[in-house]
Amino acid sequence: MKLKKRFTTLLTVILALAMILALAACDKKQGTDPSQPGAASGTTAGSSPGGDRAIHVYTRDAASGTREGFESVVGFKGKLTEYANEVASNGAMAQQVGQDINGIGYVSLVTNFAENNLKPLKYEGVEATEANVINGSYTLKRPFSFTTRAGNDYASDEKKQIVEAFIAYLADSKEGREVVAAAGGIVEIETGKPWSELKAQYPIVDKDNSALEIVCGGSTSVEKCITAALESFQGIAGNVQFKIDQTGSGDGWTRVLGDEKDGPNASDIGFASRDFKDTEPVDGALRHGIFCQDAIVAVVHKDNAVMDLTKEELYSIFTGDTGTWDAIGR
Amino acid sequence: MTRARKAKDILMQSITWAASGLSAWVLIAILVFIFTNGWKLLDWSVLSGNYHARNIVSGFVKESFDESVFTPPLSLSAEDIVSVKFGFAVRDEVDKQKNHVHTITWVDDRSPLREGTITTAGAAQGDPAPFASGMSVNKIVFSDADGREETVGRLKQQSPREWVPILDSRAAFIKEFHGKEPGGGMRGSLLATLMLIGLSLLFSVPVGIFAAVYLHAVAKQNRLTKFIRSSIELLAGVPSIIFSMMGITLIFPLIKIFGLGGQSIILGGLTMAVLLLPVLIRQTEEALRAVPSSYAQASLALGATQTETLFRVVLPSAKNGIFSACLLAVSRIVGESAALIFTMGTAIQDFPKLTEGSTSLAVQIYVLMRGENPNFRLASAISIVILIMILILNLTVKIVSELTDRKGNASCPPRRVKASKAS
Repeated sequence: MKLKKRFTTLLTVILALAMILALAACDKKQGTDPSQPGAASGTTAGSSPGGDRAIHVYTRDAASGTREGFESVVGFKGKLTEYANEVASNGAMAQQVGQDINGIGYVSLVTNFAENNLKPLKYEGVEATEANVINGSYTLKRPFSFTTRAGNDYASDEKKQIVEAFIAYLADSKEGREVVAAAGGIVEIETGKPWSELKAQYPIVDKDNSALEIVCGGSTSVEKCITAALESFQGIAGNVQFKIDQTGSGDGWTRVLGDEKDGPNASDIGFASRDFKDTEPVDGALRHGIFCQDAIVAVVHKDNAVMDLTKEELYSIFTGDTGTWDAIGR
Repeated sequence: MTRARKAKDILMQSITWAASGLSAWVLIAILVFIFTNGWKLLDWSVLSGNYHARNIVSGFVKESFDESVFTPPLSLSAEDIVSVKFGFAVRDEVDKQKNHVHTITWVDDRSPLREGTITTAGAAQGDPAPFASGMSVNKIVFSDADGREETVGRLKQQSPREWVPILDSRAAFIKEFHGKEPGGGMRGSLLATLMLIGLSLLFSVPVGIFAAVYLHAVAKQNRLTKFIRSSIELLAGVPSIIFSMMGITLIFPLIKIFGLGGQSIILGGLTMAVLLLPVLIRQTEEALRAVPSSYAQASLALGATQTETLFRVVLPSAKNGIFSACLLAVSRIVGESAALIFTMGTAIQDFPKLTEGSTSLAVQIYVLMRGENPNFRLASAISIVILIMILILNLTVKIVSELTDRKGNASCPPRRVKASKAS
């Protein structure tokens, strides 16, 4: 009995210690503050950058617009190394690469790099900034495209008019572009037209539209920009209602012009974080186009010594020709 | 010999200790993670607020205002940037949706910005526009002394430190104010979850109870009954994503006949009802089995028919067990996400309607966690709410089953037996 009691006490103490240790480690990771360099480098101590280390390639799933953009610019479509780790979202990509000192992946420029322990890499020596995307020097980018339903395929004429008005606000107006830019999209604001001029063509915005609903589908990457744009459009377009049901670039065309256009997931505007493919003809749409751009950034762990990579280097890393960070030589 | 036995004893005991300690540790780790992330965020405004920020656009008729210098209260900190000309202060913050906002922290009662009226077409057009602490500034359009129009604010990608001085030095009068009320709430999903619970139970409880009564008392205990029972058991093991597919391919065409298009809470409720059936049938059957057979025998001996005995004696005696089955079903609904993604969609709605798609709390977490910048804090705050709901449900189940036990021991049959005798 005495033994059992002592044993119980011992075990409780051990468990409690294990718990405290684990939680402390947990807290340390969560509390990583960008202003405290090295706060989270505890896990990586010992594996000094520059040692003989195998590169861990991370990739998005095949339906991703980010992957489509990255693979087509770097030019390794269909040649991705079979050792690549596939992740389901850009958020998961950021998190996993941020915990893998030997990892390399790619995310959108709107990602919070510091929060995820990431270092954005220069591409061909050019830093990924909004200015560099607009002036064309940073070429690792992708468009955010939209398409509407076919010209005569709307529930009502009002619905068609409000969708047209929203597209004009989103893609053509200065005000709409400002909102998109503030939400992380890259677009030239100054070339837009003032909404006060454009709005004359869309008299519907001066009516009470609280009974109308704009339904958006497609890419999840555009969600932040679209939400901000629709929230602000609501205030200038008679309180129009909206539904943002984003599931991935592949669904953008399908739910607006493709198989599912009359199904339960039917949408009014479909978005893709890439160009629409040849298999996704958008000619019949009331309007289609690109409303902003997004930079794709190759990322590594923040303690990785690499600062920038060229197209050739990225190609050889992602196809598996270059297997270690030493071979990169930086 | 004794030493070897003692060693074995210690080994086996330590294994049991380690196993139970591990599961307890996992639960505590989850709780610590969720509470450290979400507790600070969780307040009444998160529970009852809109998810989508309501934008407010107001216009101003007055083309001039009484020039006066406002004095800010002393309670403002250095981060609150004060406009002495227009009598308000703003602060650069990150809101619940992880967006940068310029939150208004102070508004003077005489601030000319309070005189704006809503310009958005609709019922509220012309009403006085709100301009109060807690809202945030998107942009302000003003006219300078020469009549030139200029816009400042967050949408111009200026910080308050940049745009407030511009406003104070150049603005002659303000033409438009674009603000927004804070979003990031979970009220819509909370309501949708409650609607879903109500609908799912409405569809599944009657079917579940009658099916259980059939299996328990009506059906002959033969191969067919055995087959039905094992089918129900098997149904309980089907992954919920498959129910989701069934909902979209089988139930959707059915409810389309009644004029319901698209994803809706009704479609989600019907799908959940199918998913809950095995749980309900099994638990109800257990509850019926727990009713002492002497009750039924006494009822039959008094001349009641089989049906009367079943529905007036046996079923009422099992009501506590059935009630806990329903509560278990509710916690299943609260925690379900895969079965709802296709049937109710992933669009967060602030004012959910039965005939339209919406997200439950669990699906809202899924929506928050995808995309480029997963919102851990709001997701954790919602998780806390879900955990509290589950905790309350589990405690209720415990209390109810304890009550049932006590009743079972005190051999006093429910009063309704007397009523059935009288009729």
